[in-house]
Amino acid sequence: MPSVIDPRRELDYAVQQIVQAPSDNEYFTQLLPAIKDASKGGQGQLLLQFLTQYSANREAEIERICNTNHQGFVSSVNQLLHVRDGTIGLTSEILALNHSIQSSTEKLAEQKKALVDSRGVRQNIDEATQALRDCLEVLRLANQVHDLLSKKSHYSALRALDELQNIHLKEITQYKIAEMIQKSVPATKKLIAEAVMTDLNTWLFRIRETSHFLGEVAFYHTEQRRTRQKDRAEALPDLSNFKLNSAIELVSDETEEFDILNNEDVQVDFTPLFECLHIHNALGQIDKFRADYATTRKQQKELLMPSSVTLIDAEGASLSELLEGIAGFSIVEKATMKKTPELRSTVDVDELWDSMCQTAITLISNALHEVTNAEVLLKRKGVIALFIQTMESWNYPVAALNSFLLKLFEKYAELLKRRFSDDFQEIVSTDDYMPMPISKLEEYDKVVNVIWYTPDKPREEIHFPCVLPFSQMYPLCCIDIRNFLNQFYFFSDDHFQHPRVIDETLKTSLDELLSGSVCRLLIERLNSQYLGQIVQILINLEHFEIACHELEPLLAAARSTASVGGSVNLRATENFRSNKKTAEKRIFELVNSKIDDLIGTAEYDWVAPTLEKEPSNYMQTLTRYLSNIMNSVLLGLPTEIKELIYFDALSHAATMILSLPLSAEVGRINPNGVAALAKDVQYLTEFVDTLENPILRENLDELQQTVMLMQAENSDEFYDIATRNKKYGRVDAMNGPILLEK
Amino acid sequence: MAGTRNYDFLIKLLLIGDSGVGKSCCLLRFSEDSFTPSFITTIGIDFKIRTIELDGKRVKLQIWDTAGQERFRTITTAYYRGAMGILLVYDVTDERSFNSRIQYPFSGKQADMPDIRTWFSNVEQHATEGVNKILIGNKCDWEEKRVVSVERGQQLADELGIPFMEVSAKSNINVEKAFYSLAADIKKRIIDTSKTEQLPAQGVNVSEQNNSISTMGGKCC
Ligand SMILES: Nc1nc2c(ncn2[C@@H]2O[C@H](COP(=O)(O)OP(=O)(O)OP(=O)(O)O)[C@@H](O)[C@H]2O)c(=O)[nH]1
Ligand SMILES: [Mg+2]
Repeated sequence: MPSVIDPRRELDYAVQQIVQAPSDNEYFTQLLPAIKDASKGGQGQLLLQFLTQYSANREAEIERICNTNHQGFVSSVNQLLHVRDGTIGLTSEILALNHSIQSSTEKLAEQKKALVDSRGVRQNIDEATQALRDCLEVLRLANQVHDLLSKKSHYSALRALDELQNIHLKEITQYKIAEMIQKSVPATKKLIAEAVMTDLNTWLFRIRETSHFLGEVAFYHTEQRRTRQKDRAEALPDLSNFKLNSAIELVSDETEEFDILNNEDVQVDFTPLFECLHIHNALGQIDKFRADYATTRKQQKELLMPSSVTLIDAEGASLSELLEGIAGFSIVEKATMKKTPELRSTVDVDELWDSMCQTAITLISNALHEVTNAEVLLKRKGVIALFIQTMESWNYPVAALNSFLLKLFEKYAELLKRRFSDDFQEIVSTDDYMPMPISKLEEYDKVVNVIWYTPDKPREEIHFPCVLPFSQMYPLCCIDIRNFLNQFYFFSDDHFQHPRVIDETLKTSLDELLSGSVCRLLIERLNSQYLGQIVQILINLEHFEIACHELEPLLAAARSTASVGGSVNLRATENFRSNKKTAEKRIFELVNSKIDDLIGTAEYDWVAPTLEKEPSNYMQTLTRYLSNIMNSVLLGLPTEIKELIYFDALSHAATMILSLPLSAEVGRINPNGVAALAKDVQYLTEFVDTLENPILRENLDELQQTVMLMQAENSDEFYDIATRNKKYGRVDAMNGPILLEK
Repeated sequence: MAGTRNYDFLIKLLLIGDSGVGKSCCLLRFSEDSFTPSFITTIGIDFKIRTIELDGKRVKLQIWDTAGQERFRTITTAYYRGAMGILLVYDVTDERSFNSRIQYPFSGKQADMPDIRTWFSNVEQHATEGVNKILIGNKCDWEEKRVVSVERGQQLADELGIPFMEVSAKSNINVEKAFYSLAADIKKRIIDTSKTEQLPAQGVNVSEQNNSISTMGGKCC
């Protein structure tokens, strides 16, 4: 490469080369690059100068040579001229060339500038594209939030929103869109919160709908536990002391895992609640949410409670629905509390529970009056007990409900009493008041098994048909009494925590029933005109008294708490006993009134003209009647009562007969009259003698002695104290003289 | 006759018929004017007294109510003799109490249950000859259950040659009438005939007493 530092030498060399070129061709080959180089280096002028220099040098040389070689010289000059012309042409060509080179360089620069310009535009475009891309991403994320929202992925939506806000949005803060999105964030959050609330409400609604079913399943489960407990108690009697929900029961039943909230019948998924809680937590609105939730549940509770229930629908659906609803609701509450302790407070849950219990108690109390059937009440109590046991297993306080059962029990006792009182009324009023006929041994066994009765003959020695002393009302009442006792204790089956109340109420109620119904009803029937009925009442009273004696220890033994101990005394026992006397008196009264009636038909002719040979018709009727009733209607009475009746009847008869001659209307009595009376008294005495009871004879002493006195030849004997005491000791001191007078 | 008596004549009546036909109810209706629907069967024998007035005379009715049940037959039959009038009672709602042969048409022998004919022949056998009788169809209030028509009752009464009346102890239909008419017939038969025979006024009682005495003497105890 030629040195730029010494263009002159180079040019000089170039010129040397050009000039020394052996041929024209060579010359041009040397020249052209030289020109080119010169013009390139801006040394055209210099080249020209060199060339001119060279030419001048040559001219001088030529002149000298010419001087010597004129001819040669001239030709050289010519030659030179010619060269010069060539040079000029060449120069212009070089110039033209230079020009053209110059113009093409300009174009290049122009192009170069355009290139630089386009490079800048391209950078701008790239940057704008990137910005757009960033914004689009943010927008995409923003849309994703809504997508997630519509897909109900609320929490993901919220997380996406947070990410958007905290990361992506920060990257595009310079853009307006960021500001816009930023502004929309609270609204979106609100949207999420609303959506999640809607979800929760749907959940709550579903929960509300499943509440009843949940309660139903829970009840069923408790019932299963009851059954298992019973089965276990049967196998291992020691276990029977342990009630449902006792530690032992719970442990024994552990193998039977059952998730009330997740089983083949019910599944309660708490996810929506968790999500909602999560989201409100994330939103920092947990307090508000908690309050809202509490309000909603309170409202739901209100909706759950009907304005009234009925206890007398066929299946008890009304009550079951109420209690299942409460149970389901409260189980969800407890489960919620367990799963999300921060959401539900114990106070809230207990408050709702208490309020529901109170309402339920009020509703049931209000409906109680319509229940007239004890079985129905017992069934309803069973449902309530199931409810109590179920809720107790969820650790809800059940004291209020337990005491409410007392109220139910009161009503139950009242219904039972009313029912059995009606039953007794029916039994007493339809009884035939006849000793009960028994035709077969099986029948006998059946009757004897239900009654309290000690047969006087062993079972094997009885010949059928036979007759039992009481009328059929007695076994019927005994069955009723047994049923009454059993039905009382039915109430304590399953769940009832007031055994003493049962014992006490049972005793009082039974006492009231026996005294107030059975005994009273029997006593009322003593007005009857049928002697047979009164006799049967007396015999029945006797058996009822025995029954009471047997019932007392039975009741004592049945007492649920041994600690109470002691004996049970029924007032009815004394009542039956003392009323036997009332019945006895009524029998005396009726028999005596019959005696009065018959003596009322005595037709003595006190001044008869002739002597009567036969005893009076009335006397024969009287003795026959007495004998007949003793052998028929009074036959079943205990011997001592029969003796008493005879005793009373005869003494009454004697008094009445004696009053006949004493009557003020009888003025005078002649011996024929006295004889007739004496004959009758004799007839009566003979009759009494056939009864073979010396005590009965004493009843007739006064009558006999008085008649003897009337017949006496010597009436003075009566006024002689010694003979009087001996012969007429029984004669009334006032009556004697009156009759002697007549 | 002494003044202690509060009646002029004593008439003894007897109620017979199957158990349950309503003898006691008729008697209670007549003597107490009361009625109880429950059935308390009579054990053995019972009686009631009611004094009525007939033709200005106080007539004391001593009405014996017998147990319809077979097992008291010995006790009850003893009262036939002293009776001056007998009411044969059947139940218009119970065919067997009226005519048990219809109930057992193929049995060949007479049915176990007595019917009116059986009662009638008992009367013929045990009661005083010429005793007044009346056929009574009770429970005529109970039309829905009636099985014995008035006509059949009347027909049988005609056949037996005795008066007939349908009554209801429950509804108090004809009960008074039945007792009164029987008492009146007796009065006509005994008291009024004895009057025509110029017997003393108290002869009624004498004859009645004779009635009883002659039979009682042998029967009693
Ligand atoms: N419908 C109706 N029932 C009557 C009537 N009289 C009696 N009864 C009923 O018939 C049943 C029998 O009546 P009682 O008078 O006891 O019969 P009884 O003939 O005395 O029966 P024994 O004493 O067994 O011979 C009772 O249930 C009465 O209520 C009546 O006039 N109408
Ligand atoms: Mg009777």
